[in-house]
Amino acid sequence: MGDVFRTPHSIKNALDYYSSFYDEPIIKTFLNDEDNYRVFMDFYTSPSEDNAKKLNDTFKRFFYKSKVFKYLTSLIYFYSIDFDKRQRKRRSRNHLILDQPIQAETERSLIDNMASYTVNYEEQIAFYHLPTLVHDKKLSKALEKLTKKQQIVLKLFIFNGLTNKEIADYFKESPQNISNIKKVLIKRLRESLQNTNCKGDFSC
Amino acid sequence: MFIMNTRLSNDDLLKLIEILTPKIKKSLGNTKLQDQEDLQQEIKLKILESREKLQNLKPQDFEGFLAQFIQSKNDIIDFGK
Repeated sequence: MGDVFRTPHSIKNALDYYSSFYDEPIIKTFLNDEDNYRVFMDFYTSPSEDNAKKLNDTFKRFFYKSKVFKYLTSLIYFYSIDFDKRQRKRRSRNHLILDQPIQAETERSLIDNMASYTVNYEEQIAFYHLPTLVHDKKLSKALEKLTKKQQIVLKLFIFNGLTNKEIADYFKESPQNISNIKKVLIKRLRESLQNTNCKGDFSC
Repeated sequence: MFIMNTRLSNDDLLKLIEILTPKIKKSLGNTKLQDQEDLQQEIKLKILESREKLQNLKPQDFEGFLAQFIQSKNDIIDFGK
């Protein structure tokens, strides 16, 4: 590659001949940058060896950078998809079967060996105080502004991983109502964060 | 920003990860909430592991790219004169 052009002038001739070259996406983005454009124009107005080298180097660097980003962004995207697929597969293959015998000869199953255990949500709810659990001061304050019930819903949802329906059973209410409460509390959190000029950015 | 180099240093890679963090965060939505932290870590690891691959990317210079473009048009003309 590259020996097609004997002199920098021949590059310029080729550019004039193939005007569709400028429609190539990478060339378009390359020339969109002011500095790159200047380097290109320097070469175009005076096609010397020096300017050609400068253009070649600038383009090479630009091309490399875009290749790196192209590679990494697709890596990130496809890896995340793949990762999720693997996790699903693992979960579907390794079900925890409670009533299958532990050993081939024994009758006892895993569930027989387990102590009965009912989660005491009341105790857990009383144990955690949400605002003290977050490091971010503004978020902590925002959490404090929530009503007691909203806080409990949030705790059950986050710490216990309960679904709307399970939370509804706990309160003896309808799942729709829980969903509504969640919606309102997220809105309130967002509002109080925005009021402190944080715009939902947890870093400040 | 890193300069093109045949050797990418650790700092270069870490800087790349930093630049790509928003993209990584966005991709976390592809998996369950419980797995997101694992995924984030694995992606970062994957980026660090891709050092060799990145070093072997062969970018073309302007001339080369133009020549390839012309070749793809199936129409090689000598512009030497």
